[in-house]
Amino acid sequence: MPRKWRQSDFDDDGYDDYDEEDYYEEEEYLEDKEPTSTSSVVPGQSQSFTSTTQPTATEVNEPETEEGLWACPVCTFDNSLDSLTCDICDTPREDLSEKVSDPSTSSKEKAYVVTEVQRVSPLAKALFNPLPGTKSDQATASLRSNMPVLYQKSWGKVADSSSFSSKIVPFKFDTPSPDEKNLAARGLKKSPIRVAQSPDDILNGARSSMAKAGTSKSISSAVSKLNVPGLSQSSGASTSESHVGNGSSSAPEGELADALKQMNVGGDYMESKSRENADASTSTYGLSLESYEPEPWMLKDANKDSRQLLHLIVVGHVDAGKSTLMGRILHLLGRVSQKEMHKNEKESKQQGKGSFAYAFVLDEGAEERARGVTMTVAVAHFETPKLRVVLLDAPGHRDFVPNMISGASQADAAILVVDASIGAFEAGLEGEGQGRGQTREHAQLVRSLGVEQLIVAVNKLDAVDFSKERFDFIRGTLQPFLKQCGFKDGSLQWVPVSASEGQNLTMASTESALKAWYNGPCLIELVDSLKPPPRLVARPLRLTIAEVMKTRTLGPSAFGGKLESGAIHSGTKVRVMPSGEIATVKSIELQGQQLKTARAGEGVDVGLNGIDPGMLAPGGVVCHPDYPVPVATRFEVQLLTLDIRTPILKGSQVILHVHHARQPARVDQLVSLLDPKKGTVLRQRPRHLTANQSAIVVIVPDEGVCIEKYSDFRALGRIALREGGKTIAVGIVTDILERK
Amino acid sequence: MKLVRQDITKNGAGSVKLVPEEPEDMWHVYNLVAKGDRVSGVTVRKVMRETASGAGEAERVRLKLEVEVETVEYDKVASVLRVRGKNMLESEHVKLGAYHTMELDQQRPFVLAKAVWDAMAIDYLKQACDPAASADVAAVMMQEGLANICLVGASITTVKGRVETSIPRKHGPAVAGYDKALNKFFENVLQAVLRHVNFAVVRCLVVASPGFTKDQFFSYMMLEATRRDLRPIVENKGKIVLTHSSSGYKHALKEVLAAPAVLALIKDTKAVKEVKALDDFHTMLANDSSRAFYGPGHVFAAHDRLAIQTLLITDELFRSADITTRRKYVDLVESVKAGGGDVYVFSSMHISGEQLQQLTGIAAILRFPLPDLEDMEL
Repeated sequence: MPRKWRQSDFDDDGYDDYDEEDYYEEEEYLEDKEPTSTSSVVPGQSQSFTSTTQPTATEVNEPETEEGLWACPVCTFDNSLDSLTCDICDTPREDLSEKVSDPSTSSKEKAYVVTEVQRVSPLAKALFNPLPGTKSDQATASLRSNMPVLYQKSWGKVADSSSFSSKIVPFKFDTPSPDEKNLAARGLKKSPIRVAQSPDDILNGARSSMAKAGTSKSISSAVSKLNVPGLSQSSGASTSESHVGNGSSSAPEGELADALKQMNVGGDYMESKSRENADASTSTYGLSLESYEPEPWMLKDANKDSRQLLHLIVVGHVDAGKSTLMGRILHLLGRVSQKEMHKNEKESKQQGKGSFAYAFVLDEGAEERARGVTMTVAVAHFETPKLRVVLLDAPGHRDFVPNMISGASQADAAILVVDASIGAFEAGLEGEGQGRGQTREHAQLVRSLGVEQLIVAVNKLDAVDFSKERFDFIRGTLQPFLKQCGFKDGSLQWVPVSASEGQNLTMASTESALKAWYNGPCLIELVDSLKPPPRLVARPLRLTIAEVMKTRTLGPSAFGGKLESGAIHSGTKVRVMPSGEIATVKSIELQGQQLKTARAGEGVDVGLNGIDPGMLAPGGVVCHPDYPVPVATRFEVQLLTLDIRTPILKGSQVILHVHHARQPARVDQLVSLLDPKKGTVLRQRPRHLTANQSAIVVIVPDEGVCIEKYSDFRALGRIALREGGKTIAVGIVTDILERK
Repeated sequence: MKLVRQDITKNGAGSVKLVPEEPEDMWHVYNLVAKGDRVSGVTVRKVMRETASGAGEAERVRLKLEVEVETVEYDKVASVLRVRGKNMLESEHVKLGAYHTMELDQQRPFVLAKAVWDAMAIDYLKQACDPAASADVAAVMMQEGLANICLVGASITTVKGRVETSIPRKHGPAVAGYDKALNKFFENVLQAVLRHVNFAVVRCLVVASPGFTKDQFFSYMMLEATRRDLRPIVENKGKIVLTHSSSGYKHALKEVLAAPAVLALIKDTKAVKEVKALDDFHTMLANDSSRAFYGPGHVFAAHDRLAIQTLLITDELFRSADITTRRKYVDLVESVKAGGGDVYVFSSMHISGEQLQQLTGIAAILRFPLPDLEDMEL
């Protein structure tokens, strides 16, 4: 049966809302803005802003947006010059003489600034003034004095990135890169309108790049990160080379790009009243994120270990051989001692499961061994020439998908293990009876939980005599499906392996039947080629609690989890949400080894002092005391429903999965039905949602849940809804409506 | 519930004398008593008595009162009903028209007088006094680290106990703690089962979980039962049913009630019928959305076209304080029945009723599609 969103064209801008692909929002905004859309402030501003820096460079494009438009002082909607009143709010057009320039702007820049500020109302300016209490280091301060008021807030927002990057090079207007031009040009030329969707999408793009910049260890890396994954991916693989080439352009480029996006945010913020309210409420619950300033110890020697950390999750249908494959690799890499291996072999033979010897490396639980099924996410570590890999072995059985979700929320990349033997692959994809195949469900989940890079390991090829036809058939069947899930061609890799024969795992295959047609990299080489995402070291602390434990070394109040942002060292004061209790970090451990500090991206075990163990629970978040994570009791999400039989109605009971939290929740309101491809509103207040639809809904969890707006913090803003043992929808948090 | 005396006519005035016997009966009474009715019975009131010195002294007096109901409050936990209203019976201690709150409890007879006994009320009375309708199923909804002990009655589902333990994962230094934590969790669940499940009353005990937790728990329970000689468990081993559920949360109960093994035991109970009806509604909505509607606006519009085959409605709607609203829904139910349709009155104390309540409390499956209704904003 064809599915609506599967019919999407497979070129790179065929992504629908479901792919909250890291840079895709940026792409959206590139393509969807045009002079008459609400958010067209953006290309206009960015264009003119760029032109202030180098009038000659971009003049070509400038007139198209600059002229023929005037910004409404009330709603900031860009109207055409033909109309005398605003199309949106009927405010009469103001005389151009009312342009305001900011006194703090240096005279040299004033001329440009005037053209900027005319688009912005006093209200808007007031809104974007920095908070009185906002901290800023010297560099940012100096930046601010050089900038019109409008941008001050924006810079405040990137405080962490700018302060930290501008330590090296103070901000100056510089030559716009080809990226910028490209960006601007695309922004002007593309025509489709997407009024309904704009604010959040743009927010997403902007915040994400801000976040990325925040973690960059040096200016150049900031630039390359902004350019490479951001622009090149969004504008398609074809242009990626040229962008990479620009990676070496000067520092302010990255910042400029940031600034542009931030303005963008600004524009949309003004338009959306609810956003203002949200902002206001943020300030009443702890400090706003913008005022956060990382401490020096958090940043320094972030780069000490040249090998970066990568969390890799192994997913796939039950009995595809995930655990065996990983056990074999760990054995081949020498991570499992001969003695242990011998023990495993003996035990598996005793239980009459000789083939499970390698799986027993990861499946340590008695129950798991007895049944030959992985039940919880096992963690193992190994190293490749470039990476320190944290391996998460997910259960494939459909009853343990919740555990898999919890593991996948930590992952940066994934290996999808597919059983090549006849019948098994088909079962994994199509599923039998009520439970759909987990190959399908896992791929969708992993993608929606933020994993972009995927290696497909076609396992058990020995069972089909290393047949190329079988491999190609599987690839041909899976590829379109994975694309619909939102994986890009460039980040999908395919490798034929055989775990039981040990073929093509850590070194090229020795099997002649396989060698005959495959001479690509082996699995470990592919893993080595994965790129760890940038880490948000310079953001306030967010450490999700995956499990609570009690150990001799860490004490009674200990937990394991992944640092999503920020850093901790022993003695750090932290706030444990949702209870809000304050505690002190007693000690940090990684694989049983004591650590002094742990930074974003690392999965660690932490012992706390001064807190009751009962206050810790999986799904909680350990935060910076002044920047607690919101505990939402009602929030709005943008959903994409999967293959569901029973429709989602107002009042549907679901189980909400966010990072490690799982909780019963109900759908409180179906706000609007969206076009899955364009994101435009098809219908307000739909009666029900059926399979493969995109919609905005309001969700009320039974208790407060630690969650963030996707635009603010991706890792804590992705959700999955499950019901009756099936994943029914995935989505992103667009707004928090009520909180504790 | 025991019906001691009745003196009623359909759509006429009348009174009944009732004795609630089980906790669930209080729920039935809650549904029967409406604003404007008169409830009389023996109650306790604190009265001030003047002593010789003139100082007031409070004394608790048992007396018979009749109140005209203004508000009714149902206490789910204690299973009592509080009826508040003006006193209508002359008494030496309480003035006429003085407010009194009467507590209705199990085994305490009372007389309920209504100005109008409509069809719904009579139906409800019949249902409440039908002993065969009560069928209790105890269910332990589990997942690793979480268990809910629920009792499913004819019209009420109550969560008797909830056990929550955090279980560490199997790897790393915490590996030793895993088995220990799991056993402790099972022990807690077992204790809760012993405390809350009365095997004399329930037809069966369902243990439901995803994965193998249910099997692990069952073997733990059996082992402990023999070791510690827990008679109720050993003797009722045959009453224990294991079944799959997607999670340990309360709302997974509907999967349990639909499981074949359980269904065979409780086939004709109200809870099961409700689950089935709501399921049909969902299926219809998914397959042919122009034949399934919810919300009063749509349902009444569909009824105007005589399209309703199955009407799903929660008892919550009949409890409406407003007489005309109640009348409207009662007429709808009557009229659907007269037209040959089926009516399911969901108990809002069941999982399916809760779900229907979320869905505005009223839904209908139609005989024929009404596509034009779908586009109407009602």
